[in-house]
Amino acid sequence: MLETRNLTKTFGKFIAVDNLNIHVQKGDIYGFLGPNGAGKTTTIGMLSGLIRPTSGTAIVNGLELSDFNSIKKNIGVYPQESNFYPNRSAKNHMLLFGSLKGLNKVQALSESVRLLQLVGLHDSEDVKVGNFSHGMKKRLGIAQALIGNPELLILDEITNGIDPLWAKQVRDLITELNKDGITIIISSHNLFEIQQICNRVGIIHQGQLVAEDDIDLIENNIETESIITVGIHNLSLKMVERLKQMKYVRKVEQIDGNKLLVYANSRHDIRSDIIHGLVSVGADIFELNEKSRSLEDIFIHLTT
Amino acid sequence: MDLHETSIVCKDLLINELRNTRVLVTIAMFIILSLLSIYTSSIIQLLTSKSEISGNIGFVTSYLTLLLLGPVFVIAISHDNVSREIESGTIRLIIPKIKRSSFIVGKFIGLNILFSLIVGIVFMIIFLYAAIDTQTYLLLYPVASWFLLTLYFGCFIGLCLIISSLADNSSTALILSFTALIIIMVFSTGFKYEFLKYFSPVWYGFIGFDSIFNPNADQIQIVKSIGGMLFFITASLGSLIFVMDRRDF
Repeated sequence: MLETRNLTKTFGKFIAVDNLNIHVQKGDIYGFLGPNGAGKTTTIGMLSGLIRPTSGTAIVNGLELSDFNSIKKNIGVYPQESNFYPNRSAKNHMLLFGSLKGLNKVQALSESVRLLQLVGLHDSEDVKVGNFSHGMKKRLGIAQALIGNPELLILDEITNGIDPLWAKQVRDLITELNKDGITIIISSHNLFEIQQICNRVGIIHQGQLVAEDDIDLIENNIETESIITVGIHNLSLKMVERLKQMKYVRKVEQIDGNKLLVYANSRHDIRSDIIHGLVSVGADIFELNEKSRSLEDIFIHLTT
Repeated sequence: MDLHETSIVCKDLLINELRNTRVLVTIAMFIILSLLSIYTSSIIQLLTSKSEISGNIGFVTSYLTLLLLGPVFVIAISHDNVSREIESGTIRLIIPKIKRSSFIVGKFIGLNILFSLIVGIVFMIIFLYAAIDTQTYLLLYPVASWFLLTLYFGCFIGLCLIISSLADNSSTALILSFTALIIIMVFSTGFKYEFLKYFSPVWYGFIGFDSIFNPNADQIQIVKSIGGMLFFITASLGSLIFVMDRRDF
């Protein structure tokens, strides 16, 4: 559906996006993750026709990014830092954007009704957008991006700055749209959000793609540090030394008198090795917990 | 450029500019100022008692008023047409939907239509005033003046839009537009180097004025005037498309 090929953007000497190669398949909800300033918005800007790439390209439905005028028919975009005309109504915006997308007046009007209904703004269609809340503007942003039934929807930081209730509604809406067959790219630094709705994820750091995979596979394929809490009634130095000698164990820390934190390579489940090793030196274990790894752990691991 | 997209941008600009209080006040001031010149001309006529200039003196003074003060009004209305959209972020919702050239050409045509209408209204009123006052129907003066001044304002609209496209905010666009106007006015005098006047639409406006109202003027001047201003408009439109095509939003 979409792939970038060595997509690069520089601003003077600063490299905002560096040879980026992402792959989005049809039907994906692709989470584009990265800390602030990682190059997410610049990438989205290039895919939306707002920013000219310095080099490289992107292929959308077999069409090169340089042919954006053909690409734009099949994509809907809601860029970050975009805004509506405050003195115009939601309906007026929808009619304008519908006309710009090539719809005639009747089609634009019916699309306006359908999409404002979809995002729950049909009751506010005649209200000036200047009077809209942040959440309502975001929903109008999605509605305008959906004009013309795009196959690919690009949403940049869509839930940024809106309250949790609206954010959930927006996430639910995105999931519904995906069920209707729309491929969605959503950029965010909100890990919870990405974990909730995306099936694939790409992590960008300092302009470079540091990981890309299915969201469940990425957790297994990326080596991070797992932390195992071990509680031992008769904790001794001998037991600590035994743990330190074990394969894949990086560090052992003592906490709360009779508890240890064992830092190990996450790719290997060493819990049974720990039990066997400790029992062999006479340990009376009362607790053994491994903190489950989240996307957040992977994200922090890759971007720090 | 896509004609459908261009026409929508143009129509949208006209509708919204005509709803904008600031624009309406500017237009009203523009028309009032131009019409005041009729009274000025009437006073001149009374003082000089030169009946032979009766009839066309209204057009002469209005043309000169518009020639000298018109660019200020063009700047007042046009300077932030793109920069305002960049500053507010509205352009980020439009550019992904249409060709950049359609957007900027739509703005350019819309503003030209707006000023063409304003100049048309001014000369229509003067024409009616002269017709009632002198019982003479001098169609050549209002039509020629309207045509030349429409081209003349087109040059400044192009320039304003280039500056507006390059500037990231409206105040920068305003300052740069007025700076450009001062430079153009200085150039029109041929300041130090005679050739500089060829780079000023004001000079082309003046030779157009001369060829319309001075019966002894060389008629090649009108060709120079129209050709020079058309060249300016074409060059500024080309530059506009170039600037829009290369900048990031």
